Amino acid sequence: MTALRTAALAAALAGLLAAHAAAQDPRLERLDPDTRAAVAALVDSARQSGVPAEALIDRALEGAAKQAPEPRIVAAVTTLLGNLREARAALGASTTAPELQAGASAIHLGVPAAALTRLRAVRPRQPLTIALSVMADLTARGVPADSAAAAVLALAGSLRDDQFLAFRRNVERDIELGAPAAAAASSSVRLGAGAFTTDAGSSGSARPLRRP
Amino acid sequence: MDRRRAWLPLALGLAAAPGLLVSQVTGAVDLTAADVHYDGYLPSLAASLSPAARWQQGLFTLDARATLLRFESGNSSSQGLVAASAFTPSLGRWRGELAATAGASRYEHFASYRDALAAVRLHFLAPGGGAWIGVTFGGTALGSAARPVSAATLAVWSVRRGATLTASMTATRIGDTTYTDLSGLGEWTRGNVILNGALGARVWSRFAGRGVYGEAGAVIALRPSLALVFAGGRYATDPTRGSIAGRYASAGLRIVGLRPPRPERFDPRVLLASHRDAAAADPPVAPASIEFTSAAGTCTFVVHAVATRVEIASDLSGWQPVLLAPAGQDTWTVTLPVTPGLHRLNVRLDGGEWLVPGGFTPVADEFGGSVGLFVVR
Repeated sequence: MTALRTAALAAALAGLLAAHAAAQDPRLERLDPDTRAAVAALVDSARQSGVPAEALIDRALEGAAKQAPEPRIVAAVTTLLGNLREARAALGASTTAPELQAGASAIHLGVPAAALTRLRAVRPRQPLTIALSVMADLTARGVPADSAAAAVLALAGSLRDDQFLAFRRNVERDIELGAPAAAAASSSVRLGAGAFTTDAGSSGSARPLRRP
Repeated sequence: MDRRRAWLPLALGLAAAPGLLVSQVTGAVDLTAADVHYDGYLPSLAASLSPAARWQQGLFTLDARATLLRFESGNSSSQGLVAASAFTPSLGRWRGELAATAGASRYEHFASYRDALAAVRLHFLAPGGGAWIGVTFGGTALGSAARPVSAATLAVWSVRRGATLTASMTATRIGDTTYTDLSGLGEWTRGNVILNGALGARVWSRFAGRGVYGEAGAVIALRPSLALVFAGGRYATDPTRGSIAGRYASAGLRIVGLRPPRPERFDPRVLLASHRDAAAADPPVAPASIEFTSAAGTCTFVVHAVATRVEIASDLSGWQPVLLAPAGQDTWTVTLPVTPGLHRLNVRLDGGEWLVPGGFTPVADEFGGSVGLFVVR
């Protein structure tokens, strides 16, 4: 009987807490009651731990807009909360909400959290939102996560945000160009060393002209 | 006159570039010093200057490259090359390629070579790699003596973690000279270092020598516009361009110029690997495409789709469907407030399914569908 009362009390408190959180954001009214309660609890947990809750609400609303069932919405929000926390741990407590959201996306797509930490070290005083967004976007496009992270890290010290976006566009264009072109480039072209050969390609490196 | 002719291809390539889309012109200049030992000649030190440029537009690429080499004897040599390549739209996992090149070289007043080649290749894409088969036709001339060139190549390539590997077999006929080369190429990128190597053998040859050859090189990027380049090894005779076998070791600087600093070439492996999971063949064409421009905290979307009603839903709209306004034939537009960062968006035509419009990066949305990613600065 005592256990039953305790459970009922806990449920009532959870319900009050969820109702309180839901009341804070009327957008959650778009969710069905069960989903709303679960998401509200996650949102409240995020707020208490200093993680931006807006991203969680957006994710839940995306699920609602797509008429996803409650378990999927709750699972997606829970996963995002975990990714956001991991991103904050990697990037530091002073990280902005857009940086955390981009970092969480990158982590969700497979980028190691350590890469985010290294990026922060490379650009300690500059916003990381665009660099992290490009890292996530490249990974979503099929670039292996470690390669995407390596590329962004290698460029992070010298590229501005607009250059990062140009870099992303160039990669996108090359992807659209197709792997054969990249294969040809990889085998016969290096930085600026375009060449066409009758064979499968030469190294294209610093080889001297072949004539005495 | 002959020296000018040798530089003509480069001049043509560079002169044409500014009139095209400058934003897609990239290039670099190599300054290197080398210790080279051509077969049958004494070793010699040499310095070289090698500018190169590339213009790329969609499936078309135009390259121009030149090398000016000065030996310790005071003699100099020059070489120029232009190359063009155009890919066909894909047909499933297949894609065609047409390529052509024209080049010339000259060593003092002793010899001058010219060549013009055209190639047709058929590429097959598979997850993690691919293969191609190609044929090359053309001609090469030493002075006034011209010879026809024909070649056939079969090659396979693969991308593995951190490395790109290519193996090929090429059979070449130049006049009465014939030979077959087996070749393996590898490239490994880590951080700001690109290592590459080649190992090959000329196994069947008539008048072109036989043997094993190999080269290795490294590019160490100091910054996006500057790199150290090192290379060395032994290479085989190339009868097409009149070169003879030799050994060399070289070191120098690579200055990446023009604009942009070609960061996408910083890690060629990324580009190659990027296609691996982005569907070995092209993804299906989306029934809607989207463009956007952002300024002053707002983002204007323009959707191209054949529909009577077009909506978007995004984190920018709190995932409330937003009806777009017609803006011309099959064109729809809306402007929404935006913040910098990574955003998610879907488009819906005539009340149908939520789609990822062409132009955005598709990713699984965790709700059983897909969502498009886009980045706003």
